Amino acid sequence: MYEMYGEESRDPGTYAANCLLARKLIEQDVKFVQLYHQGWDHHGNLPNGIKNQCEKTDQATAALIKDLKQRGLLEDTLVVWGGEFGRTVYSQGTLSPDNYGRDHHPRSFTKWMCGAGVKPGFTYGETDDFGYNVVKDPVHVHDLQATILHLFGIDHERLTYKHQGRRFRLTDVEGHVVKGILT
Amino acid sequence: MTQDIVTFIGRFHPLWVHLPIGFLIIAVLLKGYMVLGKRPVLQEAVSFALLLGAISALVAALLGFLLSRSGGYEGDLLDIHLIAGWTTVLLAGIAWWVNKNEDRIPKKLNYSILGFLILTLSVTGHFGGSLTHGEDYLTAYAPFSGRQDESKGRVLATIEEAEVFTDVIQPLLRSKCQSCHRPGKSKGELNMVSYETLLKGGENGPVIIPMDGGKSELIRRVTLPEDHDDFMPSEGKKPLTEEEIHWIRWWIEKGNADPKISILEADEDLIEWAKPRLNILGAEKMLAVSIDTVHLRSLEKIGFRVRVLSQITGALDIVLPSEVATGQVSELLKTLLPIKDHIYWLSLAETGIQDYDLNLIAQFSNIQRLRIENNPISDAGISALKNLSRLEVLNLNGTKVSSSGLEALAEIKSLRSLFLWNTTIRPQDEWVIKISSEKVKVVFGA
Repeated sequence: MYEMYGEESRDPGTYAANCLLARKLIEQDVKFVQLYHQGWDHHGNLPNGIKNQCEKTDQATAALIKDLKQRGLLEDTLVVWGGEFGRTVYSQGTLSPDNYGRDHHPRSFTKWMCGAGVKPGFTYGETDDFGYNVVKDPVHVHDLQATILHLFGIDHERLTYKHQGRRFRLTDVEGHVVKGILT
Repeated sequence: MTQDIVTFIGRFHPLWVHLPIGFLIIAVLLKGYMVLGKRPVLQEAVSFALLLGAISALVAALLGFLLSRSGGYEGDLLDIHLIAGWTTVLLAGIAWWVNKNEDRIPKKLNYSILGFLILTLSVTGHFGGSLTHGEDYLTAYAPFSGRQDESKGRVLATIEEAEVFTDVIQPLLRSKCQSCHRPGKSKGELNMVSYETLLKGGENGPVIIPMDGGKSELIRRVTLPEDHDDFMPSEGKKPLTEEEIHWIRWWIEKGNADPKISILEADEDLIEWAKPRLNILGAEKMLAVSIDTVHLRSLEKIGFRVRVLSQITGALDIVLPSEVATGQVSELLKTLLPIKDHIYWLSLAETGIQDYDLNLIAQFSNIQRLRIENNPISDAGISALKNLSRLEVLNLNGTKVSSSGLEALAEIKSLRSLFLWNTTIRPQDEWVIKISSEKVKVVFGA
């Protein structure tokens, strides 16, 4: 198992060890598991930084999915991987072969999902040639939230909570389930 | 012309009737106050209120008679309303006379007359209301009425059973048209509650011309500009939506107004619109009435993890944690028998179940996902599972099964995922290659 998740998975607190822990929790029927990994804010020193980050996350993430799959857990587990915004396609700061950065870019960015209820092996939505703006099948954050709730078996238009005297929805007044990514 | 005058005057009936109701009730209340509160001085007021009540009741009855002449009302409801109404007039008159000569009439007789007056008044009012609003208006939302969700039609097992008229047209006529076009009211002499009466049409002739939506009065009326005098539903009522009109038009034009035509004959987008409005439960789910929640709580006390997958069908996800199962799994499984048809997902991973336990699981005929990995199960037990005709996902990781034992599973047509990690079976086994080609995804270790 450690081999599959990578050497770092022996070291508690690392992302790889967390992935292994996540699998164990899911195996024990835990309903919701969230793994954090920070240090992606590469306004500078991107070439090095992204290499390090990927080294820490790539293998373990793949291992987690494979492991969930072989144990039959991916049948009813949804895996969502992403951050809260993307990065510009153009660079920021100094520009040399071994040092440059990228700014925040919330206008268009990517997430991936796999497991229960979502179509495997395809992409949904498109940006223009510069990766600046969405040109096809846009998915707003609320749409994503509505879709994830749908996969939880919850109608985002009916789930409300009461706050300061009125009922709120988790998706405010927006959000549509993205049917195109569902199986 | 006189007919118009009759109708015009008659229509003051619903307005006027509230007067006698008010007068007569206040008369009886005053009488009660007079007797119980010992205020004999009120007798004059009682008589006066009864006189007003009797006169206004007479006027109301006459207006009502005119209204009933104007057409559109008929049947038992009207008869009862009419008789009760005239009885009320009569009783109000008697009550007035009795109270005017109070000293000469036995008190008990007086009270009984007032009691009957209130009774007939209530009966008249109730049936009058039923005539205007529909017979089930009062009770439809009562907690004891056992009302089905009215927005949905009858319960269906599959969409193949759905008929355009019964399951699409009827429900929308019911919600949008039948408050006026029904027996007992029949506005425009049109009664829409059944196929026969709908086809018969109203005072201006038929409203549906099969194959010809353009000539069908029904379509014309609902598609007129909303401020047109002939527009239906009449003012203040919810108009039909575009899709509803589309459906009616399709039924008349393409469906030939056939009462039995299947919903599946219609255009794709129409079917898509109708689908969520149908009450389709699926054949196996129609039995899934209510789950015995007390039993579920007792299962949870034992240590089962119980999750309701669908409130509508009562489908359950049951997990037996391995630490609970230790040494007594066979007995614990028996406690699931009372809810066996509700179990859709079942997880018995690492619970120590053996081949003979699978005979019991084979009775859970609605199972879709079964996890029995990491148990001492062999080929001998597996064959019992072949009758689980809804099984989609089967997890046999870490069991002692072999290719030859699994051949029985080929009979399960619904199977789509099979987990065989940590078994002696190999991806290159002939049986695995064969079953993989039949749309079953076989998963081994990564």
